[in-house]
Amino acid sequence: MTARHESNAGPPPFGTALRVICGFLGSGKTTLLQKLLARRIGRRVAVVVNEMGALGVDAAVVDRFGVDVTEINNGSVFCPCRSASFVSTLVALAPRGFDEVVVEASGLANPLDMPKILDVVAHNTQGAFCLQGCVCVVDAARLVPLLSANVLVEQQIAAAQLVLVNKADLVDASTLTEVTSRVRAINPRAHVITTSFSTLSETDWRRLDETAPAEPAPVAHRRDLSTRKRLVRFEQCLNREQLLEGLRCIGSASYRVKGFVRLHEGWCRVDCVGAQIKIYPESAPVGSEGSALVVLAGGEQGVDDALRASGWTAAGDRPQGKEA
Amino acid sequence: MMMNGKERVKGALRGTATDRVPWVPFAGVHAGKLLGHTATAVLTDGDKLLASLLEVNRIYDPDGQPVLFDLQVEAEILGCNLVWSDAVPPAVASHPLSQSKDVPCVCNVPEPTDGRLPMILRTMAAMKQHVGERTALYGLICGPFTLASHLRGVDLFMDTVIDAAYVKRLISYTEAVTMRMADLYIDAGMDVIAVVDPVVSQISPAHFTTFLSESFTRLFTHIRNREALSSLFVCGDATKQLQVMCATAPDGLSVDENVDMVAAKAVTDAHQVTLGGNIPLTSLMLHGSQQDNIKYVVDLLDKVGAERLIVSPGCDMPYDTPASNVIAASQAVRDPEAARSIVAGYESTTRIPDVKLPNYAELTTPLVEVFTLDSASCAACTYMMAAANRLTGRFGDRIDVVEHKYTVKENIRRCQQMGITNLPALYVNGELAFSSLIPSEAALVDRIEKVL
Repeated sequence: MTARHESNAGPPPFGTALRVICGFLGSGKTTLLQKLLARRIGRRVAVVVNEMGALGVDAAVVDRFGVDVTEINNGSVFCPCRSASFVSTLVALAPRGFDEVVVEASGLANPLDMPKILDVVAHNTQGAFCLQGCVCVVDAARLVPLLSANVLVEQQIAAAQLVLVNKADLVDASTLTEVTSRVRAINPRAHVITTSFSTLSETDWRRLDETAPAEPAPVAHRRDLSTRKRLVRFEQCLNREQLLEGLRCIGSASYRVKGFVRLHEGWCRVDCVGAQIKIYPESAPVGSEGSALVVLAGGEQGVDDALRASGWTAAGDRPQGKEA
Repeated sequence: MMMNGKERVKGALRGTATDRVPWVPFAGVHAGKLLGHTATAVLTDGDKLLASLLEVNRIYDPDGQPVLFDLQVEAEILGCNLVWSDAVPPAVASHPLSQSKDVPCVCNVPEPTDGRLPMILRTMAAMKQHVGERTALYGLICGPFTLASHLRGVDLFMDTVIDAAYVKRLISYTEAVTMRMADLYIDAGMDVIAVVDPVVSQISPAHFTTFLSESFTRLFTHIRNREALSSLFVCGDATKQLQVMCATAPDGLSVDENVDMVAAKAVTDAHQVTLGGNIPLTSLMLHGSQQDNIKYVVDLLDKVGAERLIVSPGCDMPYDTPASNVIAASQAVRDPEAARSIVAGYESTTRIPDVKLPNYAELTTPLVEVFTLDSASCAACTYMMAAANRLTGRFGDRIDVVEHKYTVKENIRRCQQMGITNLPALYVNGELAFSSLIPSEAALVDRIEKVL
């Protein structure tokens, strides 16, 4: 980790500050994390990046900030399958004197399961961490359909003390009003702010820094069995049009597609949310999967049909750990 | 020696001597009716549920009673969307595994904080405190096959034929869920864990053995090891499955009016399992008279005997069941001699007028009639109706599909006139096509194409 600038965030009164960023797939969590890290330069910050897929795409993005990054992939850190890794990671970070640890939860994490895990962490670290609360990022363009499609979305909002209604630039005023109302109805106690590209005003950054933990809003805890995870590996280089054609096909049949792909002109990082397809040039992939995409989709989205139509071969992969 | 209700139920399930046959009225949504609460209210509001259960305990004086009769609790936690009603338990409206054969991780088993469990566990603790000393409390969990059908949908029945390996993997997951639920309810003080698996009657004994025998055996062994008692609840015509179900060694087996109690008792006795049942829900409890109910109980005791028997309704009592009928059944169990004298020479006067049946020979469009207890509340009926509804999607207006619910008085007569004895059943142009077993889509399509 390299210190470059002083940050305007003050040190926590007791122990290492622990901040959690949650939100559904493709809502803008990693963008928020990058912007938060840009403001933390000069402070000792560690990041725990959690992804449902085996590919550490978000960790690769965050790694550029030179902070201490730990990846916990292939499942939610709040799920019993991966919580042991999460606990041991925080226990290992505890004595290292960080000012702040930021956890970017997976888009399919249920943060309502977080308190009991943090109790274990507290027990094993003699209270080394001071929880700063939970920030939830919501995709304004997709919240309404997602609330019907996936049981986790409501619970992620309920667990937060600060909710960013993000991607406001993609919706009209009436949709934004409806989305904000839905968020407030789920969690009347949370502070709700509207953002685009996860960009916060100085006032909102202060609000985020001052977020304190609180009881979650009372919603029923439910589990998501419907999300499908598929891994598409590419043995050959693709040309850009082939990649775009395939992404257009599966983008609308999935929540999120991301990964590293080897094109004829070189490596690229893919980030696809519905019709929003982003392709960034990369010098090399991160991790050992090589040229591959992780596809996460709802049970009713017909992702397997879309994959067949795209001509890509996917390996079935369960969302969380091993099956029964 | 005079026993209290709890001792009586425990004695019956253990096969030891009891002072009389125990009485366990299954008052689920009907409990709410007693205090004017809807089914939805009583299944979601802990205060209303507790008050309703205490009212059941007060007026029906049961030896045992369930705390919550709703097979959708687990499904709701696991992401199924429910459709709620005022007079029946909720129905499952979406199936998270319907589009692909993924098997969930075992980490996705219910926790005490999930879904309605906080309310249910609180109510169980309160019931234990209020009546638990004298009343055996039943914790009802959704059985592994019915839960699998909730998660996968109607395709599960085809899966049993074409992809046995997948069904086994899925059942191993739902078994883990049932184990967890049993533990939660035992920890909350339930004396009897009732594993309610109505859809079991829709598969063959061979499939039961292939897919379910090991899971049920492990589950009942686990419950026994936790020093609780177990009972397997099925509904529909489970006659053919009696042997294989008893072989999994539950302490009790509870059946509905589709099963002949004398024949069932011979099987349960041979396996040292206690038989429970089977007062007809609709024709007697809902639409019959007090004498009808008394006579049924007295006849049942006379035919089956008092050993290893628990008298109960065939399943969850209809919401609108007159309390007077339940009280009558209760009195008949308590004092069979007095009851016998009340109904000596009694012949039922409950007579439902004939209904006009379709002229099947003159139909211009093939008619698919699904005879159910009620597809909104009976899981087996739900999946039979879902299979029929798929035909509508395939054939459109080239066929007509209707449901005849037995909860409607006229349909009791309709079943009598058509000679229908087992529900659910699917008829095509007035002829029996499928009874009890849920047909595969291919078999149904084949049957329809023959009459198009």
